[in-house]
Amino acid sequence: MLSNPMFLAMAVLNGLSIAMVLFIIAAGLTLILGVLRILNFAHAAFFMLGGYVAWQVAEGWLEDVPGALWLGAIAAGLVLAVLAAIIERTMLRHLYGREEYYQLLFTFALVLLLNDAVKAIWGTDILTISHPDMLRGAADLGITFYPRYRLFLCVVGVVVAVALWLLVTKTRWGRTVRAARMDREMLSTLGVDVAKVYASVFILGVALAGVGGALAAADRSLYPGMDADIIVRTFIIVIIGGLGSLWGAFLGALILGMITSFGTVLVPEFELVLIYLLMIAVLLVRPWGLLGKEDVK
Amino acid sequence: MMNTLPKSAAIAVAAALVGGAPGAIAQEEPIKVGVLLPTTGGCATAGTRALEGHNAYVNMINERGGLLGRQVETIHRDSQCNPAVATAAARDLVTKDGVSFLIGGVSSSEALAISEVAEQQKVIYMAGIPKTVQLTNEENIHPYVFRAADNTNSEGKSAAILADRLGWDTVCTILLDYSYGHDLGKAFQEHLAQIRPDAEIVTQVWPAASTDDYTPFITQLLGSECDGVFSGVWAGVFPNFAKQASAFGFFDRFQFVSAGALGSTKFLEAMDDEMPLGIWGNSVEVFYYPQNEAHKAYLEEIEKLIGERPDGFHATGWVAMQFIDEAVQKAGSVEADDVSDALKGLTIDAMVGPLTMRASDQQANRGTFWGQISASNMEGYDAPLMNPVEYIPADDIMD
Repeated sequence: MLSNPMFLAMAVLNGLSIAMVLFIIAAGLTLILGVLRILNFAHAAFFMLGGYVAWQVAEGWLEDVPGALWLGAIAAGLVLAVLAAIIERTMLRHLYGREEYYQLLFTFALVLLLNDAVKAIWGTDILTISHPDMLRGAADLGITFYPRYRLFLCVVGVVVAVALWLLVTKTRWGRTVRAARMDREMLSTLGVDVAKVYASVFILGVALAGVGGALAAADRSLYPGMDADIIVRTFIIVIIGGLGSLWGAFLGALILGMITSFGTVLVPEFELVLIYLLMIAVLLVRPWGLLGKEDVK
Repeated sequence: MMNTLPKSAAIAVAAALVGGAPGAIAQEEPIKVGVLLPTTGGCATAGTRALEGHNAYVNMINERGGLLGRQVETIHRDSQCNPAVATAAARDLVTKDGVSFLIGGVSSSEALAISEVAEQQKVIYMAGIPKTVQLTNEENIHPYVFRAADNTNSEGKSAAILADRLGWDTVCTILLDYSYGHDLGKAFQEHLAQIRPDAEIVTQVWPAASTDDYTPFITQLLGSECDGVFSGVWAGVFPNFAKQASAFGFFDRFQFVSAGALGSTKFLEAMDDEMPLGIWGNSVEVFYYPQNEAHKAYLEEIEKLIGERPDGFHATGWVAMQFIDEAVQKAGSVEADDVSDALKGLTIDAMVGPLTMRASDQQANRGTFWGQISASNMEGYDAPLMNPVEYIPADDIMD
């Protein structure tokens, strides 16, 4: 079937769109991991919550209002940013520099809390958000036709990647963040409010997960516990790409997306196994990830 | 229940004092029915509705004066769609609450767990929803387990009948990769080979039960040459599949016949204008067909209780209790062995028409309604419905 150029193109686009949604989550995760050194197990739960907030706005309150999804995505970003600020200021900051298992326990507790909150507020039924009108149906790309909304998600992924890269490399905030990553004490001696830098990184990462969740929700379904599968895939991406590396996460997401897409067509029984095999191979050959740095502590 | 006990005790004492019939005590003791349905967790929607259907039927019994002159009391336990929880709750219901009957289970694993307790405790168990053929196969059958629900054989084989009628010579399938999907696929394929030997299955895709991105599977089907697609993407996960597939024009390209209750009323009301039209779905009950007395009585009772149109799941709770009700009347007793004998071969006048509990394997010949999902042609009702709709009986296709 892959000898047919139309379906080859479709399979590539499938892989790309799967990759870009996962990248948006992985980008925030790897940012938080790189700077705060916090393994945020709850990252996909934030992604899920973003989806539910968007559902509430787009389907619950503003059904049939044009552009409701975009308002939902903005709301998801804002709600998650506020939530992140509260969590960071009241709880998370006490865990910086502590043993990893404290962080794991804490973020795992967040996963349970967020899932229960979602169940209590929205129930256990599967919810979905409609595609926005302007992105309904398929676009003709010449070689093949492909759903507009998924093309849109691909574009969002690339925009997020470039924007984050510019933010981290070209702005003053980005320079401070990079410095904080290398030597927190030195930065603090230089008079920079490191606590604020940390808080801003956490808030940005979580808000990104929220917006990603909102946009992805219009192409998939929402149900409590949906984060479990996503967090595993996101961690695989970050491990393959290299802990803390933005472009590593991008590359990792692309690899995982393509394996998912082509694996489903070519070796349906082994699609999941392939992903884990790849991770094991990377860990054996380059334990610090494809684009990671060897000295990551 | 706590309020009625002292009252009945007082009446019993009074009856004894005036030298009344000793039977007075028995008459006042309610018949207890233990219901194990999940009202929390992933199957809560099905469980909650089935419980409402059950309650509506019990209300009707009590209003008409009870069963064998005794009121019927329901004791519900949340089985959480979890076999371990269901086992513990079923034991409690029998040993602590002293129920005479067990009804319930949504998932097949719950049903198998409850059936085991029923066998140990010698209490009748009536399964209203679970479809697994394992429940009453040779290995697992015992005198106390009965199934009022349809099974995966009748569902898959009904779909094969439709595929034959639609003239499919090349067939694709999309079935979820767990027991329900595999059982359906097996039944569909077997029956199609029998009634349309020349038909060929050209592509089969098996998304995981938890998949929320069907796109790779959708594109694979789009790359296949088939006249129609048989699907087991059931109502709970269908919205997501439909959204992704519609974007590819999937439903314009293929004829599509799906198991998994896509014709169910509440589901279609929730989907509304997102529902792809022209596909074939099924439901265990629809409010607009057939127009018989039993169905009308059912619709009235349910609306009295919940104030709206019922869903297919309501019907499952109702029919399970109806079998118990009529078997107890026939037996004139609530003893498990008497009721078990009465149930075997019992025919009830159900909302779908007559239903018979086969003596051989203790399963009802429950068929389902199938139809093409179409825009509503009913005044005052906007959601899609199945039109034309028909009942495909299960007698010849449930094995």
